[in-house]
Amino acid sequence: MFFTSGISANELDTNDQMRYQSLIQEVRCLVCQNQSVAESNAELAKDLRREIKLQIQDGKSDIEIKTYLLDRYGEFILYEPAFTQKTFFLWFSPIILLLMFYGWFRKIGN
Amino acid sequence: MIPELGQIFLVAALASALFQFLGGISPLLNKIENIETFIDRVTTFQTISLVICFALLTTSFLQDDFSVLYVASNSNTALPIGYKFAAVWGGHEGSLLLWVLILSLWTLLLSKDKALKSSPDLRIQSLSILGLISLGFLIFILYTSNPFERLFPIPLQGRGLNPLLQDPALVIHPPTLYAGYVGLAVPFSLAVSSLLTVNNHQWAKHARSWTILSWMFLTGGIALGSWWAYYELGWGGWWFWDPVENASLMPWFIATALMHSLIVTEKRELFNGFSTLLAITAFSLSLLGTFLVRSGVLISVHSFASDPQRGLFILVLLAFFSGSALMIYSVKQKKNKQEKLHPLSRESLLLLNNVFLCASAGLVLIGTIYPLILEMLDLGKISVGPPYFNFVILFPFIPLLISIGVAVFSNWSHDSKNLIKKVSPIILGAIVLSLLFPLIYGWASLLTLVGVLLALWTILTGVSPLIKNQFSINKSMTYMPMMLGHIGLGLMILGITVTSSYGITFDDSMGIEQSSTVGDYEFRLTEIGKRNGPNYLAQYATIEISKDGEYIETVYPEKRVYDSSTMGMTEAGIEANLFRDLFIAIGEDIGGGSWSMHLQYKPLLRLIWYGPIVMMMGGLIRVFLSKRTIGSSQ
Repeated sequence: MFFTSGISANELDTNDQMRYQSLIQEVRCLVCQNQSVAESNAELAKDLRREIKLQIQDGKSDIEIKTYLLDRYGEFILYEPAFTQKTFFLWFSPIILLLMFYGWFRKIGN
Repeated sequence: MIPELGQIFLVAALASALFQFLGGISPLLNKIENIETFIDRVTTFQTISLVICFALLTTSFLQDDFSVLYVASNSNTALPIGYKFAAVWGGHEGSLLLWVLILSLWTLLLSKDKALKSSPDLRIQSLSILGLISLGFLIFILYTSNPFERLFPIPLQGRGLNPLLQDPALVIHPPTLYAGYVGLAVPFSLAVSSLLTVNNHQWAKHARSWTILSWMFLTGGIALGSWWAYYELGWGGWWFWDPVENASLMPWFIATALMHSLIVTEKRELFNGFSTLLAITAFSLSLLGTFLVRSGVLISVHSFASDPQRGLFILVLLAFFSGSALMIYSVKQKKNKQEKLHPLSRESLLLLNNVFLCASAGLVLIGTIYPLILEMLDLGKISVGPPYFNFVILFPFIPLLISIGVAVFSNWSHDSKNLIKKVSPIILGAIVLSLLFPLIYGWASLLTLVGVLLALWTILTGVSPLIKNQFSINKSMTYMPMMLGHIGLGLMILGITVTSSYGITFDDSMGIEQSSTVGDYEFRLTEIGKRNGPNYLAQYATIEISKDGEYIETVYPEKRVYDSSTMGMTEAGIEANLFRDLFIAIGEDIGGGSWSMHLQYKPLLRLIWYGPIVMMMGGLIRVFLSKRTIGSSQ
């Protein structure tokens, strides 16, 4: 790891600062209770914040950074679950539920 | 001696709960004289026993009696006295005692409900069901979670209260939330009691005020929790879709639906079955919430003192109460009164909105338990967090907000004529006003504009009865609960939309006399030092905030380390007015006299909490009005 003890993002320009803020909110701190790395003061969270900042400075895209985190830590690290076979029902639940409840509405209504 | 006395009164409460339950089933078998007097007395006796129990446990806390395991685990001598009171419900055992105490208070209040006395069967059965619920929880307390358990050898010092809980908002947050959760047992008991006895729509009239009261507490409890998370968790977020937050949001959605469905059941004798199901679901979700918080099956920042075995017990109680209620429903529920609904009539639109609210609760439920299910099926660990919920909740909420405003203009039993003509000036007004927002704050996205538009639409349609009555408060009094409820919701949606779209979050490093700029505001660090609190050591900073060179305010964010814990606590420095919040929290020392700081500018953030307050005022007026009309009709 690099020899910097703190993480300040003031070297990032406005656009990168926004990307940095939204990325760290989407990444879960793996050693905490349910907290994102933005919120946590755990060492791992600090390391991850630094890593994300460095990758932004290296010109990596959001997708590249997320892929890096996924490969390294697994699906658990991202608060937005990927659309895969096992999250199929999760992602389609808004449509399924609305149709189901609409059917129910029609049934009660008539 | 005091803990043993507490133990005795706990058993006495258990016995009265048992008799309260039996008193209700006995008339089903054979008529007993004076059964009402009997059940009223045991109800009162149970409440008194639990009040004494609670007072005795509080006494043990105030006396620092560390021979009581629960006191030793949740308090110590250095704890400020105010927090010793709060520590009574700071852990698992005490919060369960609070749970049954609140249940018994609700039960006592229900037994004093004058209007309900005209339906003795309904009344006795619902008190009996409440007695059974209380019995279940009292067995649970005595069997797994006794707050009066002794500890030997007696330690000289207690472990202390979780620092996160040492905060004024957290003193009133749990009782408020619990009052809401537990209060939903009242409409539940009335609904099931109705199925068992008279089996008609009568219960709706009685359940309305109770539902509104519990809904008010639930609203207040959730808002308080959000406010607390904002200033205490140190990161300035106000909603994280954490499992424990979700656990309180689900019953809120259903209680909101129930409140509206009961209007139709009372006024039009329609949807009796639907209202019954909502009443059962609302309380079941309260129990599910208690289970999620207490069992620790889900990882959450809010879960204090959890234990899987105790979780299992609550799950059994949940299965028993919801299962039997649903069984009774499926056997007893008569077919709905047949009536063809007009699609734009008020009853039809209320039903539609209630269905959207159910869908919202369903989505939150799926998102909350999905990772749990995948893990049980050995399909790996995933996280479902804010990006997911913020997206899916739009599906039911956008149509819901559209139709709320239309429902205000609809009529009972038939399609309203000239509906389009009536709403078009308001739509126009909402569009014009919403265009001001990009002018003030700049363009963000189409979704932002839609959010602002829907919020203004909800507010303006909420205000409309007042306009129609030439701004006479007296004439619009009967509409006041609806007006305040809808205006409050609109304000909250406006706050959420504007703050999420135009808020600025910024991390920066600051040294003495250095400043950082967020939006138009300049934060200047002038001093950093240490101070001693009653049971903690704090690192504080002095920050001067100014705008365009003009001084606004000085704030003092802190980072505390409590004696009883190694974890650092953040106390943010906040400068707030109606239009914006300025927030600064101390991060870590990065050497060379510099500190990392977390800064925020959040426009209209306060509306997220003022909205719920306005909504609660609407509920309060409704309860007050209903008491007055009942009084005058007698």
